[in-house]
Amino acid sequence: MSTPKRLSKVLTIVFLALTSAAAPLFSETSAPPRYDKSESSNYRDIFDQAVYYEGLQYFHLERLYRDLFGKKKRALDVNVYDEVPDSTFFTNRHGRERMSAAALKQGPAVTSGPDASGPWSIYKGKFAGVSSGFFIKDGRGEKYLLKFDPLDYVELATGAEVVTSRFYHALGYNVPQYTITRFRKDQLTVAPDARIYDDTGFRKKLTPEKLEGYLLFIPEMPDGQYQASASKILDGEVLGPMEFQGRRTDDSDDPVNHQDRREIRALQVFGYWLNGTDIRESNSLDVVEMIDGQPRIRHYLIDFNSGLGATPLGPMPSHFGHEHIIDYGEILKGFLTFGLWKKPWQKRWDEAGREIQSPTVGYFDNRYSKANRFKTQLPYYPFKDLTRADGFWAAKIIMKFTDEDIREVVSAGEYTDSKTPEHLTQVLTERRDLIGRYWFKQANPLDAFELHGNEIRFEDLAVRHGFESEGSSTYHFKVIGKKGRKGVILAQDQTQEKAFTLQSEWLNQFPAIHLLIRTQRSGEEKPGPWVRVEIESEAGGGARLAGILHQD
Amino acid sequence: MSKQVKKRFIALFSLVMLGTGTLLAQEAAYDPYASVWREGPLKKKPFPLKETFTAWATHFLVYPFELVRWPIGETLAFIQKYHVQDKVDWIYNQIKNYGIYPRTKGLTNFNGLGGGLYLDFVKLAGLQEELPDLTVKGGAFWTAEHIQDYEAKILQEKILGTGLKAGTFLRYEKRGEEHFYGIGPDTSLGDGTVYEIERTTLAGILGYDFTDTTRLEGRFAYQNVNIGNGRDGGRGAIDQIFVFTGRQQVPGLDGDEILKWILEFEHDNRDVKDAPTRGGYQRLHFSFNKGLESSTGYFKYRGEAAQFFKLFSDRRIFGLRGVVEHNDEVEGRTVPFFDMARLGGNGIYPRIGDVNRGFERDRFYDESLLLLNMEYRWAIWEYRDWRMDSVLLWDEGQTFGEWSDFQFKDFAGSYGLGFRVTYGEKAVLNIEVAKSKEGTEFYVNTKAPF
Repeated sequence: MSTPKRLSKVLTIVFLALTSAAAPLFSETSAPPRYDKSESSNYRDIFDQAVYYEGLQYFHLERLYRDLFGKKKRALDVNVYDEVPDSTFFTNRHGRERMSAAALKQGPAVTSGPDASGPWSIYKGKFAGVSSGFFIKDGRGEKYLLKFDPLDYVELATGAEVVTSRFYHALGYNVPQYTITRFRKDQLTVAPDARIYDDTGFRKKLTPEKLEGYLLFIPEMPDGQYQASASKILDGEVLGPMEFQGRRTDDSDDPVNHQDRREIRALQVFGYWLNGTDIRESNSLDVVEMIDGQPRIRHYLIDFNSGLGATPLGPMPSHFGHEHIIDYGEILKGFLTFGLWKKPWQKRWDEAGREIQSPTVGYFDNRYSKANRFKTQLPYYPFKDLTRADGFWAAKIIMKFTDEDIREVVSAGEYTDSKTPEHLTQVLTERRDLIGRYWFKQANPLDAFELHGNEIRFEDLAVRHGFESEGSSTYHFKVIGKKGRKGVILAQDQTQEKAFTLQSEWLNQFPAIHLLIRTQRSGEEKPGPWVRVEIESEAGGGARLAGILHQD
Repeated sequence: MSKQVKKRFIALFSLVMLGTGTLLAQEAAYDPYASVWREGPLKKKPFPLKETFTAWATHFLVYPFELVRWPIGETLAFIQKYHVQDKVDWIYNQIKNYGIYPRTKGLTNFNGLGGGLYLDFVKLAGLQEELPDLTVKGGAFWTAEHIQDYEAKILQEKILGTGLKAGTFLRYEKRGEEHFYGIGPDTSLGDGTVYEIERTTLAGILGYDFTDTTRLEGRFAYQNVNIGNGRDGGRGAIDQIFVFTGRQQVPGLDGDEILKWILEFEHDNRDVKDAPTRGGYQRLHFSFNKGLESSTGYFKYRGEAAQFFKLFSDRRIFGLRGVVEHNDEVEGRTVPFFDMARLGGNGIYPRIGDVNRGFERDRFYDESLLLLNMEYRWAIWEYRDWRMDSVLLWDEGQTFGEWSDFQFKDFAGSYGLGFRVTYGEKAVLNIEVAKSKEGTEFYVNTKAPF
């Protein structure tokens, strides 16, 4: 063999060796990605949030600094127009474009629930603790989780779950399908290998006799049927709960720490609207799904039977929504006032004669209800980090729901007593307005900015929704010419018109103009928070709207 | 359609399309939901050095605590995943259903740790349905403070379908570390001693339950008492200080054999026993006690009453308790010191001394006792069936000899603060700190003193 041949052979071997050694590095891109999995645990959630993070919050120097100096941290997943673009966390639905009545009522449902034409085979279950239920497979082979009402409160938790899940869906969150389903006892069969955790804490074989015993603890409808909320089991690999802090390191779609995501922070506002006191990490789920032909992680909210006036154990307890599970501040206030100060939830409960509204509604009203005072059971950092701009964003979406929209979604609860949807609709409508009124005051509620030639037009949401009367507001403008980071105040003006005209020379002189607008309502001494509208000059003349920023 | 009309239609259509296209183009130029970011595309940085450094710099104080958080979190997750609490609860209830009652004692310190086991033989034999009104119990209890308590009891209730009950019990109790400072209100804390008491009681019971809240009970008992030196040498042994020095005559130091004729009445209408919000109880005790071969001979009179009031809310409770006791020796006879009224400590079993929480347990002994306890309790936390109350407490009491010895200046007072956690109607945790002129006492228990 000649030297060149030998050399080429050696080189070939070296090349093959190198490429084969490097192969795993390249092949990883084509192999299915592997994701970290975790298991949800309410107990761990409670310890983490109510004890650990709450106790150590001021050991976080950044948090301490922000609290001491009143600094806010802006959400990082908002675009230049101060909106949250669609992602695997959130999809703009009703907030972006009005959903039809049918779409609102249908929510994420792709089926009408388990196929009632055939038997349902129970293959797994749990009959103890907070969330008792059965996993069933229907005649079509589809899997569902059936959850039930507390014994004396038929329709309470099941209705709340179906209704609130549809609201969260319309708001933009990923939500599994929940439907009201009714069935007869003889529709249920037990799979041979079905196991269930019963109240002994041991996993046991589920027998028809045991099932019969469990059904005694489920409320029966007058026609002998049972009602459940049927949650369709999500297709895809379940990775465990979504954390409200930090981010997944194994997900390229997850570049922002969750506490800095506006849609996570805003759960505080949406939670208040829907009385979702039980929003917690263990009520969320990360699922690997095929999206556009690629496996990607979608982040779901699940378990909505704690909402409106309901919890899985019965009506919403009177202190829920007012205090965290362990609310150190409230405990201290109670201690220091020697019990002489009556807390708002105590007043509310006492004034209600310590009576719930009804067995189907539970406990849900707006007495002593304040949009900024709502507390979820667990105090998550992102909820504390909610800024004015985040709250405004959430309120803006909520205000898109008309009375009719709300009524339509509530009708998905299939309540038998017509007073129940009436009451729920009324409370939700009032609470929607409480939210709008509050957040449109906290932030500058100017929205829907449009640039027509040199004129900026906008809408005042507080006026549009009737919280402020037309003509009662003065808009203070400050025009800032921007060159790089430097800015020069070019003009200041005020008007009652919802429009402002930019002078052409400003646009010629500066590559960008920032318009700082503050709104002053009649009777107010000074204007409120600002909203910044950013306009950029275009090369061929003219200008374009380059950004919107509400004060945090 | 003519050519001209066609042309016009095409031109108009083109204009409309152009206009629409322009509008669409403008719309596309300003899509409020577009993924356009202020600082470049929003994507994960492969090596976020700055972020990592910032996180370390601002969170470094937290990281050591993560070492604690992780094992606790994992343990809790394990408990939930494998339903450990349900299993424990179920096993405990199963044991109880078989008539086996584990008993634990709250701890004030490591010495306060205790535990025991009580057996219900009727349940063990599976006869509770056939003999629902018969009690045959036995049990044992030990604490790290050298207390041993063994008890056996047979009691038949609802005899002939009435409230009549009869029975007997045998009890052996050994306490290795009882405190004694002398008799009277003026004893010194520095003269503290300890003794060991061994008490065996055999009694017959005859009683009547008028209602669920009112009962009368008579007992005839034989009691054998042995006294010895206690285990805590640091305080001084009782025989060295009170016998050999002759500092004070202490009746009963040699032990005794006593016959007791006891009559007790009780009325209790508290809404719940552990953390009452209304109602109260009244207890009257009368007994004649006579030593078999000693000079012991006395009548014991004791009255105790507690009442609980809601202060316009069930979240604010005022509790009041009073105790009067007098041990009246029969002429020429004595009251043994171990049967005298005692004051000091929190009065929760296995303590005997009545409630004066700012003082050491059993701080005062004498023939008579006058005591007033007051508590103001208010709810500071509620979560479903859980509740935590804060308590302001005040105890004022004294021991004295005869009624003529009573003086207002001898009252010993203490005040303090406490926190009580209840679950439903069950006390779970009681933490109290109380101060008196002699110092500060700290208590952790699973029930309240009254």
